[in-house]
Parts: sequence; C-alpha cells; structure tokens
Amino acid sequence: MKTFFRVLPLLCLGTVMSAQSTNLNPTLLQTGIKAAYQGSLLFPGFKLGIEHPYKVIEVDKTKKWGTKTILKERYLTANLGYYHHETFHDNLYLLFERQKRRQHLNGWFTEHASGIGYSRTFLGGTTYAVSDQGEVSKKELAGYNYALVSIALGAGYNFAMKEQQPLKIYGKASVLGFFPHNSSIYLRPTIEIGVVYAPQNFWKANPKLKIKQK
Amino acid sequence: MKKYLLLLISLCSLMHCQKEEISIGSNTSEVFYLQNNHAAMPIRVHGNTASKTFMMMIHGGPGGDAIIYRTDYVRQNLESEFAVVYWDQRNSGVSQGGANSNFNQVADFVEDFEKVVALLKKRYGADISIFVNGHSWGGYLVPAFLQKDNNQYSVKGWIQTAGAHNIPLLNELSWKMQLDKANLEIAANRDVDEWTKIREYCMSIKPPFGVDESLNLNKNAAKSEKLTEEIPKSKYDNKYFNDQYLENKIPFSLLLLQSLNPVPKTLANELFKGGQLSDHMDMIVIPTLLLYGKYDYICPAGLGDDIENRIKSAYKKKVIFEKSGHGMMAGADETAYWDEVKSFMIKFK
Repeated sequence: MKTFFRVLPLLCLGTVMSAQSTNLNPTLLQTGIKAAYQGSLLFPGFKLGIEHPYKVIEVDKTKKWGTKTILKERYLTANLGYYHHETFHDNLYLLFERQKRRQHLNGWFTEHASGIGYSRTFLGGTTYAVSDQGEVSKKELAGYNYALVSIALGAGYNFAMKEQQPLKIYGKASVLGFFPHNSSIYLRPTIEIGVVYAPQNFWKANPKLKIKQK
Repeated sequence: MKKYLLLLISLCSLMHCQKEEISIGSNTSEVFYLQNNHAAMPIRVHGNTASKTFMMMIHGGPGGDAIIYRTDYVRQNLESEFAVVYWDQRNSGVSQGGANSNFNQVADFVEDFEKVVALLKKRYGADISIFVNGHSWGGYLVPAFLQKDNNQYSVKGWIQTAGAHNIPLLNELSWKMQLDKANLEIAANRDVDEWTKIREYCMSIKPPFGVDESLNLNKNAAKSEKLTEEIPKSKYDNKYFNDQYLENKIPFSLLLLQSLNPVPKTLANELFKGGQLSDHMDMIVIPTLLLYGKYDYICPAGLGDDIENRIKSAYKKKVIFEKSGHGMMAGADETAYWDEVKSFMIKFK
C-alpha cells in the first residue's frame, strides 16, 4: 500500500489510474489520446483513438527482498483505423477494445486487448457490375461492410513512471478479423507502433481502485 | 455529428479514388473487379492487350487462384503476344464478398463467367478474340459455360487443360489408373508401402463411387502423382510462387483462409455426387484443344477421349504430354504445352 502512495503522483501524470473511494485527487486522471501506425509490413495504415481507464488493481507481492508492486490497469478504448492495400482494398474501421495492461514501476508495461467493431472496405480497383442483359456499369466506392473482431498483444514504456511525462510509447501485434467475408472470416495480421498522450485538460477519468496483497 | 460523418466520408473518398484506367498496349498490367451476387472478383489483365487476343485462365479448385498460372514462361512467351486474364472466381483466390453462401452453385459461377466475358468486351472492345483455358475444376466450369445458351459463340476457342468435365468418369479412370500403377510399382519394388496403401484402398471399393470414396480417390491421386518418378520435378518451387504472390500484392492470409473456406468445398462435394457435362457435349462446335498429362491421376487423359468423341467441333485436337501429371503447364512439358496453346490461339484468333 505504501508503494501505491509513493508512485501515485507519477501515475496520475501518466493518466493511468485513480481511486474512487480514497482521498486521492481524481482530477489528475485523464483519458489518453492514441496515434499509431497500424499496418502490415508492406501495406501502411494508421489508428487514432482514445484509451479511458476504468479500473486499476494494485498488486503488492511480498518478496524476500521487499514488496514488488505491479498495476493491473483496465481500459476501454475507441479507435478509428485505416489501411491501404494496393489492388486489394482500402479499409476504414471503428474498433472498441477492452484493454488490459500490466504496468511495472520501472515504466515498462505489457498489454493485451480484445475488441469488436465495424469495418467498411473499398475495393482496390475500378469495379463493375454487369446486368443480366449484359449492360456494364461502373460502381463508385464499391466495397463491403463487415463486423470486426480483434485481438492484440503488445508492450511499451510509460514515461510517467520515471520521467513524469504523460506519454507512453508502445508496439503491438494484432489480428483483425472481418466477417462475414465470403461467408467466412478474413484474418489480417497487423503491427502497430504508437504513442499515447494524456493532455491535462482532456477527458477526466475516474477509475475504480482495488488493492490486492499477495 | 452529421458534419463529422460527412467529413469522414469525404476524406475517405479522397483517399480512395477508384480511377478507371484502361490500357491498350504491349505491356499492360491492370486489376479491376466484377461485383456480382455478393462477391467481388479481381480480374488481372497482363500482357499485350493491343493484340486484341485474350486468354482467360480459368483456375482449378474450387477455391484455387488464378495468378498461380503466371509463371516466368507465361510472362515471356504468352503475355508478350497476347493478353492473359487471371480471374479469381467467387470465394476463391483473393476475391472478396459478404455472406454469399447462397450463391455457390455451378450456375452462379457460370453467371460470373458470362459477366467477365461481357466486361472484357466492354473494356477492350467488342472485336477482341477470347480463348478460355480451363484447368482441373476450371475444366468443368468452362464446358458448363460453353453449353449454356449461345455462350460458346462469345469466345474463339476452348482449351481444356486436364479438365474435370465428368466426375463419375474421372473417378473410374483415376481408380483404374491408380490400381494399375500401384501394381506396376509394387512389382518393381518401388515405394512399396505407399503404393500398397493405394492399391488396398482401390481394391476395397468399386464403381460407382460415393462422395467419400471420390474424395479419397482424389487424395490418393495427388499422392500417386508425387510417387510417380516419370514426372520430373517442376522448376517452380513454393518460394517462386510466394514471390509471385508478393509481387502481385496478394494478401497471404486471405489466400490461406480461402483454401480452408468450407464454401468452395461444399461445391466440390456437390460435384463429387456425380456432376457430369458429357451428355450435352455434342452442342460444342467451336475449335477445341484438349491437353492432358500422361501421369495425371487427378484428371486422367481418358477424359479427353470422352470430349473428343462427343463434341461436333470442326477442329479438335488432343495432346497427351508424356512427362506430366496434373500440372503440365509448369512442369517438364511447359514449353510443349504452351507452344500448343499459342499455335491454337494464333490459328483461330
């Protein structure tokens, strides 16, 4: 518990956590704004979004040498993503994720997320329709609407932990699944490299705090 | 909120302008799509569109892809003289679409085929000469297309490459061929264990074959081809084809998933129940070139005899390649195969 109070000011700057029922200052807690490159190795894309912390579990583990503290942070994220795959399609999507982050006091964190969303593709070439009478017409902005699911694994560094900067950098590998794609699913592996910045006057967060002693 | 939505849609439209480019030249390379019945099928046209002579590669599967036929040899020797059309059929290759399992009958593929031909004529001119080259399952789809209405008159010639136009006959020929070869190989003491398994299976069944038996015969046919030493190894390995996919910007994960997609497999299973097009083969009157591999257990050369005996074409030619199995267009008979195709196209374009 002591550790928690020791690191709290840093955490707050880092937009990480809050306590609902303690005497901590919740106004310092912020929602982060994310910007990332998200694409495959060959085909570029981007992802913009926000991550809103809703729960933080402080876990204090008693070791021989003292107490090790990690923070299990829970976020809800909302993202707008896009990628361009030449001759295949362009894809614009909205993705909502439930993200679990394991934050170490040295700044490093690992995370995983699962999400659902909506995707709209635009075919990667001039698209035609041909009527039963053989008349050919061009279709503008042809593409498909898909439901979207995603899973992601990643790691990063939170500059708030040591440098007191409200900034995180991270990298993630994820798989986006679009369905019903040809009555089945299209899985697209992606990589994501991004930053999360939490401006002080942005959307305040008030995550629920839990403390666990082990 | 509406304002932002409109802005987003406009931004998206700007990011992705579908610019129509129709190239007529000696070195064309373009991709466009046909959207039909909840499927968007890419059509890649490579080569000499100025020749006004087009060869459509109708790929195998169901569920295969067309770009796999675009080898160096085809680029250098076919595309330099003609335009080659690589059409990925619905639920195959890198075609896209939504919930389209209700459009998965042979008739749906034939409708797509008709529309691709109409589209090619619209883009490149009504006076272009189109040849259709069906391989394996494509060799079922092409005669299904040709036998419908007046479709055969929309193309200049039919090239049947190890085509599967009659499944019961295919099964019977394959069964007999596997059995005969297994006996020979076992007697010669070559790969005895593997050939014994194949022989035992063949001896445990008799025609007419059901769906499961057909599927097993098909699997054993592929094994038999691998065991047959008379077929030299192809110079094109997996790395070669992976490079082709990369160059053509094919999403690997989709290609893999399409091969696992149950939808085309459902169609294959339907065909294995006894699909055949022999009965109406006498409708065919257009020039026809029948190409088979001597060691093709998947679509045996005897299928060519059936077509040759039934069609009413004034010109029909059958060639059996001595060093080939199911993929003669990319094996030891590559040059001989494509020379036949080229000569046929030049003769009838």
